[in-house]
Amino acid sequence: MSTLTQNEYLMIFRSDEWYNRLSASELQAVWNQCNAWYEQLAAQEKVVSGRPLARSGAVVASQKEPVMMDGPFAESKELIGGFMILKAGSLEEAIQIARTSPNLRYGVTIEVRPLAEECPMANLVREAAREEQLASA
Amino acid sequence: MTTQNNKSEYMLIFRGNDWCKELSPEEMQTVANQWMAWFNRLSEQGKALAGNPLEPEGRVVTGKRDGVVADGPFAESKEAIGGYFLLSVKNFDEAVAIAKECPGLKYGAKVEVRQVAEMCPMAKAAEEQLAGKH
Repeated sequence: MSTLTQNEYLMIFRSDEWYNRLSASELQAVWNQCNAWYEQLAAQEKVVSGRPLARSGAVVASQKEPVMMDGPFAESKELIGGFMILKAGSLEEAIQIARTSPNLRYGVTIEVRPLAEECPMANLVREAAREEQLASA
Repeated sequence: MTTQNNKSEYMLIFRGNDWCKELSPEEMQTVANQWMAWFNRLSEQGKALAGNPLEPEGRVVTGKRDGVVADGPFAESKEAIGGYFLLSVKNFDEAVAIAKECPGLKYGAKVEVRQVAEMCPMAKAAEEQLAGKH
């Protein structure tokens, strides 16, 4: 939707509330490491944006009232805790950057996904049109 | 990690990227156009700050020894993330009302609505621990 001038990648961080299990000094140490990691990437102009997310929310589906995501789900390891958008030369480089994230050792997982120039549906539409053309040729 | 949000920011996370396979090319074109028009309107209203579809590929990185887990089921899955909008709106109800306008809903797409945290929960936990010590 926005025009991409360079390859951009979405890093989706998922975890439980691991930080609540750490001692104050451990927490301070990992917090400093995470900050340093982020600042270094920002200084290299690799960070486009990043946001932490509150551990609650809702899921909206067709014809249904929104389902609140509170309760046990808020403790799930699968819950998205935040995201960052990175500039990188390739998916491999984005993965290498993700692998240096200091919170991985506490069980955080990072999904790395290329941002698309356009909706992948547009591609499917073009493919279908091409097939139709071939079939009618 | 940075939170420069004076307004309330919300993420709409679009889930499921298998539903569009059921559509005819004409229907896909219609939904894609509706989606774009929806995003453009929200942008013009100052309610959408950013938004992107995602390619149906990627990896999951973990702290385990080999590091990279999987290609992930990004291509065709009900839970796979297909894209996102970053909204700046009054409150949670407005974010949910916008989510309900998603053109993919009637075909089976789901929208997760999440508030951007004022502060990273890890930083908050660190502050609380420090406060508790004094």
